[in-house]
Amino acid sequence: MNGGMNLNWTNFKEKYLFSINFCFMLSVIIYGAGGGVIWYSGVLALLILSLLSDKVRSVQKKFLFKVGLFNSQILLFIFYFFFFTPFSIFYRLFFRNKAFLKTSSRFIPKESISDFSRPF
Amino acid sequence: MSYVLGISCYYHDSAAVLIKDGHILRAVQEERFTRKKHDASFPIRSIEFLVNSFNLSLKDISAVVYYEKPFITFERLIETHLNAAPLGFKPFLASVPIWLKEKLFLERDITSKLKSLKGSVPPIKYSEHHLSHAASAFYPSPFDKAAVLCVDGVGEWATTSGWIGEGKNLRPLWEIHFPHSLGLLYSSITAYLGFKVNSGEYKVMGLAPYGVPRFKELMLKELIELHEDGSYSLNMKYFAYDRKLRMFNSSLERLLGQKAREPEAKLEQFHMDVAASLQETLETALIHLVKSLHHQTGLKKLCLAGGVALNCVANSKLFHTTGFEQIWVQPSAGDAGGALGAALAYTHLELEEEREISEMDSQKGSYLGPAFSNEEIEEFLTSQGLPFEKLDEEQMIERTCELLEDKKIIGWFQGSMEFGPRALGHRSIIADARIHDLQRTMNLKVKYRESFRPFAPIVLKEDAKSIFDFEHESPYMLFVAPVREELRVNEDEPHKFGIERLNLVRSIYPAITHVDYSARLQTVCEKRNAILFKLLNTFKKRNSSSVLVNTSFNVRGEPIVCTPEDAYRCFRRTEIDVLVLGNYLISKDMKLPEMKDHEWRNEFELD
Repeated sequence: MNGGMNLNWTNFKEKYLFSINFCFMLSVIIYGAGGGVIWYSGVLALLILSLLSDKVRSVQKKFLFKVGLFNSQILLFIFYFFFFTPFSIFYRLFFRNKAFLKTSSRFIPKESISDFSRPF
Repeated sequence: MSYVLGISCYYHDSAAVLIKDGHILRAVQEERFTRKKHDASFPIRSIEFLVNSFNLSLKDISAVVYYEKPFITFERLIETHLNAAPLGFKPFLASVPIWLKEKLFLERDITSKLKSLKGSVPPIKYSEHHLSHAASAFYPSPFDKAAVLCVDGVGEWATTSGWIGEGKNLRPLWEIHFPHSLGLLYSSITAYLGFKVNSGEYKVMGLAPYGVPRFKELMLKELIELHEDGSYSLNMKYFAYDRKLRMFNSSLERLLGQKAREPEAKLEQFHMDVAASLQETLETALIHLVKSLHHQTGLKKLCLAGGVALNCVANSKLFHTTGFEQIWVQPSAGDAGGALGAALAYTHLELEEEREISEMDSQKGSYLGPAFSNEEIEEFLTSQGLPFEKLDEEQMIERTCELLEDKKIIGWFQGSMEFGPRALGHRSIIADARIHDLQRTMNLKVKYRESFRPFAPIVLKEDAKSIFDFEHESPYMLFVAPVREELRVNEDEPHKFGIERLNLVRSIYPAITHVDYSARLQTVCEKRNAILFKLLNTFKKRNSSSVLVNTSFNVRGEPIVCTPEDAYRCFRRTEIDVLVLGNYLISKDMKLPEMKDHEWRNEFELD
């Protein structure tokens, strides 16, 4: 019933630190939102549960992964539509790669190969 | 003495290859160890196998060569997104985070993965994707001077490239850049036909003979433009791979007049006609391109690589139509072969190692993977408590011939496993090609795959000419040839269409004769494959026939078996009658221990 808890620091860190941080972060959010004692009790209960159950810890990780994914998608959305797309207009006007233009031949002469030391 | 390690990974078919002083020592695909078809993960197991096979540590290796230039690929990706914006948000979201997180830091990633092995990590080098393909085609070939053509989906920017190889040098001539790609054209229609991209292309090629190429003119008019100089352009109006997460768009469906087929849905005559049209369109474009390369180089010998070079039907058409008299195709022409080419290119072009040309070729029959001795096989069989018959080599050959005559289907496991997608008689399922209805039985009860898919023959090299209209050698199953007219027994029935044509007996070798009388043959000679040669020779002495069916030892969705354990597992899961592991024979008639393995079909994703 102790969820496999032991006193080895590495194991402890790997297993529980995420849940402790997660609950700490929830407390900070509750504090910021001005939540009452009842909310903190909920967080405490969640912390105890996560120390006892693998399943709760796994749900927490999945939840935070989804939040992270959602946040990154919002950031990429902003980047794509507000910076990348306007830049693409400029690119297409002045620097568009010939591969995307209509030509009567697709052969691009090549005289040498790139150095093996470079990844480009 | 310099060892060079070539690797390919992170796209599809990851592999590792070990070269010593320009000689290929061993080569293996990661999927054979991980048992995940087309596995793209870092080939750490393959590298471990290579290093351990020769008792090396990383400090003995002078360089690790990655098969492409990741920064140029990233540049192409960004330029493609810039070209598509604002319509390409979904692919941007799918690809850019992976690049920023992993692929841009490839060197760090390779180094950290290699640190798990013994010794200090050698310097990491990079070869251009198409240089890797060109090197994989030219250096192992038996030619001192040859034109080289690489055709695939896409590398960094290049999708098609022409080269001249001479001695140890490879000189680039030209490239055709993304998005114009014969490989992606084929893959797009493969996706339209409801097959998986990067693995369903073989199925489209096998399906094509059932159809009538009634869309060919339309495809050549609308989908692809062939330029006078031999190059080509795709009409991107019909394709979506440059801006969406799918290969084609609704314009293609409107052009062909039917919605795309759902995966595993019923195949109709329409789908077969589209497959036939696509195959002929590809052949026309390829002939146009190769003719131009012949005109530019004036050479008589051609080397081919890149995924499109695995299209053996198209390869065969190049013989009489393009001016090239000899053609050598890299048997691992896809990305796995890129690992081989990267190591060879670095060895000959950077380290300036001399190249030794072998009369046959330097690919060693492509038997470059793990091998298991009879002692190791016996140890496995004993440890599993399995009954077996222990024979000497001669007895084993005789016994196998007897079983083949009894119409048994045999799992054949001998020597080093093949490098590349084809099983060339070391990890094969074999049977007598004269059995009626064998194609159906093997497809449905052994391979668990679509009934229309053809099987390939193995034949003694000296007998090939008398059975097939084919004057060349095909040791790697990369050419097709029609069965000779005098061996055909029935003419096609005109009122039958599509799959209905499947069950008609067409020649005295019905199991390997496709509906258009063609066969994807492998010619066998003693030098390349002594044991298979002995088997065919003995079978011929007993039966006056040296033709056997040869298909890869696996089921649908599974990589070819690698170890005796994989082979035994596959034997038990299918209706293979007998398993021949080295000199050991196990039959389903023996009392085999029960295997609780009912859910195995969920193990492999359908291809």
